[in-house]
Order: sequence, then C-alpha cells, then structure tokens
Amino acid sequence: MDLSKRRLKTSCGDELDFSHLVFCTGSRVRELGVSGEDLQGVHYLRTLSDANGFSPSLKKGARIGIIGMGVIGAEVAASARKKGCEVICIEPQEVPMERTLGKRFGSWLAQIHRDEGVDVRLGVGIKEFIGENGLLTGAMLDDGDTIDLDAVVVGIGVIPNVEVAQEAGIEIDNGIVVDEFARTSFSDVYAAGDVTNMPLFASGSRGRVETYQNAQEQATIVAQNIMEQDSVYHNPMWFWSDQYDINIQVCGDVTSTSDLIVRGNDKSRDFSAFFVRDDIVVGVMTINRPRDMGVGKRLVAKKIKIVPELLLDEKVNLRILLK
Amino acid sequence: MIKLCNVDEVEEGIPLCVEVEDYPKLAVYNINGTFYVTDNLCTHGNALLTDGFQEGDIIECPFHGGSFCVKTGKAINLPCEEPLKVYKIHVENGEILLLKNK
Repeated sequence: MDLSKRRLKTSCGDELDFSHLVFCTGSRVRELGVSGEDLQGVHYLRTLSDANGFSPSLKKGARIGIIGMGVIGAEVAASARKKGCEVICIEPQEVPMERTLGKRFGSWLAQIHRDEGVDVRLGVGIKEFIGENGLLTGAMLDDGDTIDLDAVVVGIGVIPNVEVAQEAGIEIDNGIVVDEFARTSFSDVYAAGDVTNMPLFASGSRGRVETYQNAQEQATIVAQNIMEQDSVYHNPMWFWSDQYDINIQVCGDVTSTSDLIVRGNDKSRDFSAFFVRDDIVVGVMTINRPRDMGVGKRLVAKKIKIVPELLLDEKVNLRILLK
Repeated sequence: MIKLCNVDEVEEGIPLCVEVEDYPKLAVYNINGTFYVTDNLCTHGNALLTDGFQEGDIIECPFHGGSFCVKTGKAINLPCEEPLKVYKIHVENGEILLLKNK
C-alpha cells in the first residue's frame, strides 16, 4: 500500500488506484494464553463458524465453563442454561459486565444469573485447562480450585486489526486513530467500526466502541464525508443484550458516579434506570423496557435538562421530556 | 370495514396498538392529523413498533434501532430490510376504520 501515490496491491497481485480509502478491518478475539488452550473443547466466539463449532456442545446436562463474563460470556451463559446445561462462569472482575454496566448493575446481573442456576465465580481467574488425549476435561482456577468441564467458551475481549494500516504508516494507538469525521492521520483515508480509536461522546476522552451501532453509524459518517458532507460522528454509545427473558439496553454512561433515578422496581426484571448529573441524563439502562430507550437515547444525545420527578412518575409519557 | 379506534385516541408521536379479530396486532399513527396503519410487529425482531419512537413519518424499532417509513412501509434503517405491511383505512365521524381485503 502506497498512500501518497494512492495505490495498493492486493495479495492476488492486482494493483488498484484510489481517491479515498476506508479501513474496516474490525477486531479479533483476545486469546487467553494459558496452558491447555489448544485442547479440543476450548472455544472462542466471533464468527458464524465459531458458533457452529460450539453449539453442539450445548447438550442437556453438559458442564459448560465460561471464561470472562462480559457481554459475550453472560449471553452464552444464559443460552447454555436455557439448553439445560450446567454453567460455571469465571470472571476476574468483581461483577459481570463491569465495563458496560458498572458495579451496581453488574452486581444486579450476577444475582440474575445465580437465580437462574449459574455458578458465578467472581474475582477469580483461570490458571490452566486440563485434558486427556487432547480433549478438555476441566480447568484449574488461580484460587487453586479444580472444576470438571465438557466445554469452555472464552470471552475476554477483542483486539483491533490494525496491522495493514500500521504498515501503511497510519497513526495507531489502541486502534486506528480517527477524528470526529472518522478521518485517519492520512488525508482521504478513513476508518470505521471496532478498529477505530475515536473521540467518545461527552467525555473528552477517546476509546474503541465495539457495538453494532458504532459499526453502522460510523460507516455512514465515512460515506457522507467521502461525499464531502462534513458529517460529525458524536453519538452516545448504545447496545442491547438479551439474556434469559431479559432485554437489556444501555445508552451513554451508566458506570461513573451520577444520581440514579429508577422508573419501576429495580428488584424486578422490569425497570429503567436513568443516570443523571446536574439534571442532565448522561446514561440510561432499560430492563425489559425497550419502550423507554427511544426517548432515553435522545435525552442523552441532546443533553436536555430534565425534571427528575417526571422521570419517576410512571404515568408520565417520557416523550414530554424531549419538548 | 372494521373500527380500529377513535381519532382522539392517537396522539402525534404516540402510536397506538390495536387488536382486531383476524388481523395481527396493528399500529395506528397520527402524522400531523393524518392517520396511518401498519403491522405492529417489526419485520426484523420480535418487537412492537408502538413501543418504538415515532418522529414524523419514521418509526424506530425499540429493539435494534432499525426504522420504517410509516406511510409506505419501506425499511429505512438497518437491521430492518423487509418492508412493513401498510393497511388502507378510512376516517369517518371521528373513527378510524380498516378497509377489508387489504
């Protein structure tokens, strides 16, 4: 790839000229790097073929280990329980999905999984996998405990596929560095999706956003900017996760300190939590209340001042808060 | 014709879920005083569009953020791709009536 000449060569030997170039190289799973990782029965989940490779393991009564209880791990745990498997989750952090839900609701989620019969082990990591004749039979944890397992899914995050961009001389820092126009350090070269390190909404900091929404919306911004529309990408992060009978949706910042306003009963599986700072909603989490998220997303994105009493009152249609 | 609801039950921006015999759940919308009716179930996920967010003639699905044009049923935003069924209606004496055979 020669960016200054705007020319690239494919591995088949074709040479192509370009006026604009877009990196959408995505990310790949982070590997654990412990002994026994190559045993049959140890799975990662990223592609359709990964899923097809793992799903035959979800037999009734099978003992399934989940290493890492982020979004992927928590969702697989729920699916495995629904298939009648015994599920053991190993998570080194204090609560599941801590990065996305924060401590309070991460702790709430741990209780949901325990109520559903998952053996949730927090603050503990994996030391090694144990096997016989190349087949996984169990794992040893770093607290010395040994568990029997038929199969394992490792979900400990992803790393950005920056290599091609890096070789071409584009600035890299935990991803391809882009600005709010999704432009890289090289003119007319853009990037979108998991691979980008981008300015984050309302925080002044940067990071990677590994969501469906980001892949779609940042790509749209790139297309618009190639068409010289000067579009700025500055939306709050939003994602959903379905676990058991629960649809979880999160928008904005629900992890840092802020006042909490709960609509509904947060001891149930039917409520919305609004994270408020100086009367501005900075984050929203809905639990089986997707109907609150349409307004919630817009409250966060538009930084509208709200009256907390209205958020609390279930008789109030949230739409009036946007007026 | 089948009565779905009264016009004053459907506020702009707050679509109404209506159930009538022999039809799937329907969504009734008010856009500037003109009414439209579509299937209520999203063509992508298992969500009711009346739980979604209406902005003008666009309804955003509450599950995955895809959207449709309420007037034409056309899918506007991914992950929605398949169009939404739109029904012909008649408004008379403050009532919204569904025309049968479509």
